[in-house]
Amino acid sequence: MFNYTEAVGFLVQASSSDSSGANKIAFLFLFAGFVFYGIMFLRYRNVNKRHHHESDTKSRTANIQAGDTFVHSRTGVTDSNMPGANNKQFNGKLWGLF
Amino acid sequence: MVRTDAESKDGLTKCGRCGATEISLNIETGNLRCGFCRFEMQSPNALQTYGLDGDVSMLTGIVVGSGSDNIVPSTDLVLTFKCSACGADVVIDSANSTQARCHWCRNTLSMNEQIPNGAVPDMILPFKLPKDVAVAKIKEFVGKRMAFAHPTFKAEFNAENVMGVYLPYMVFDANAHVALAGQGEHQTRSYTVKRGDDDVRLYDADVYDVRRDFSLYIDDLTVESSSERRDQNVMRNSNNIINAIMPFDVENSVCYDSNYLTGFTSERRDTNLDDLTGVAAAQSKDIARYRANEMVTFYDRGVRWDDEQLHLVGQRWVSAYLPVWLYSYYETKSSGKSFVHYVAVNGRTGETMGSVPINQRKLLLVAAGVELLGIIAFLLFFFLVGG
Repeated sequence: MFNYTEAVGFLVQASSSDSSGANKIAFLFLFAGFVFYGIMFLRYRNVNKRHHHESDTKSRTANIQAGDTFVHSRTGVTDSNMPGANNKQFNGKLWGLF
Repeated sequence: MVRTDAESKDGLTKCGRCGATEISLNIETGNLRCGFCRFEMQSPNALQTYGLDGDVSMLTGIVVGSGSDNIVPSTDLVLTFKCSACGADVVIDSANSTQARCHWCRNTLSMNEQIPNGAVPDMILPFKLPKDVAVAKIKEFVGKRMAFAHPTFKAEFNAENVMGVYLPYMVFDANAHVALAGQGEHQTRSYTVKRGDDDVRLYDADVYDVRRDFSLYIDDLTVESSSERRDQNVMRNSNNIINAIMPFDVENSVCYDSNYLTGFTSERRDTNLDDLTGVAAAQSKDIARYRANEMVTFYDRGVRWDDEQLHLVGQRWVSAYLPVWLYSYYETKSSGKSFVHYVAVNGRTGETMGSVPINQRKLLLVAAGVELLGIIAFLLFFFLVGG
């Protein structure tokens, strides 16, 4: 017998960031149509494509000076990455959808 | 300012051997070739000729090629030249070309001297990729995207309609000082704990205040200098496609000669340096962030830069025409709105990118089918594993 509450609970668990790999696959099944549409849209329209000026432009550095100071330790955090990290974000792209 | 048209002359550019004006690019050699006697003329490298290739680390102040000078709005785009062969008046519409044929004696007149309307750049990078190769690349690119392509597009697609276009860009060199400050995290431990029935992964990390100061030398950052091409809102146009086929080997550009445009079309620069400085500075900051990542590898959980300063000690601007093979398709949607799709091929490297109109009805139908199968798979999974 299909239990709606259990199914919703399973769905919420599957969508959470710390869910297991099997649950994530289940979550992917549920949105397979949307994922397929998105992949095909990007493949045909390529709206996410741009020149990677940050890596493709010739550049070099010199006179590097570093100064790092220990502040504190954090324990038991659930995020695998630093919250608010922006060292891999690039803002000089010309278009605005992504 | 560095004068880049001091040796240039408007009017008839004659073959050094036979005197004919029927001169065009030989893509195979990259030289200009006389259409009558096949004599080939090699144009000098622009950056070397004008001394614009000096060491970026020694750059101070602002160095600008004269072809990058501000556009004076009142400057005429349609110019009249006197044909020195027969004396007739010949009109050149510099918005679309810098050449015209004399309607009396059939000689070709060229506009090579710079006037402040953005039509004549400092340098030009000639096409290297032949049209047939570009056509094959476009066919291959579109051929892989036919399953969900719009039926009208499928019926009308003809890669032979590709056009060779010289598009206007600004090439920017910078000698900059960068100062970055923020916080970074280094992971010290990763472990799993039980919470109810679930295993949860947790992390310990050390937090540091991070500071990096360095000199950054940027060589040949290339930005669009046509206002139409700079608009890269993908909801309105597919200009991002043309952006995506960069970079170009701009260091191989040659001194501008209108004869390189024979058989191709061109777009005029309509943007001044003041309007491009913001984009160049923002992209330079991105390059600084990218290079700084090599200096903060210890912070494996990431770095949050809170303060980023980029001081331009020296900058150099050179305007250029760069070669693009462009296939364009004008789609009129059922709503009456129109959208221009491009498939672009880099005229030097062959890098190809494109936008293909989609048969939305077919794609939605197939996506609905996939969704249905996905829901069935999810329910099976739920009953077998979750339930």
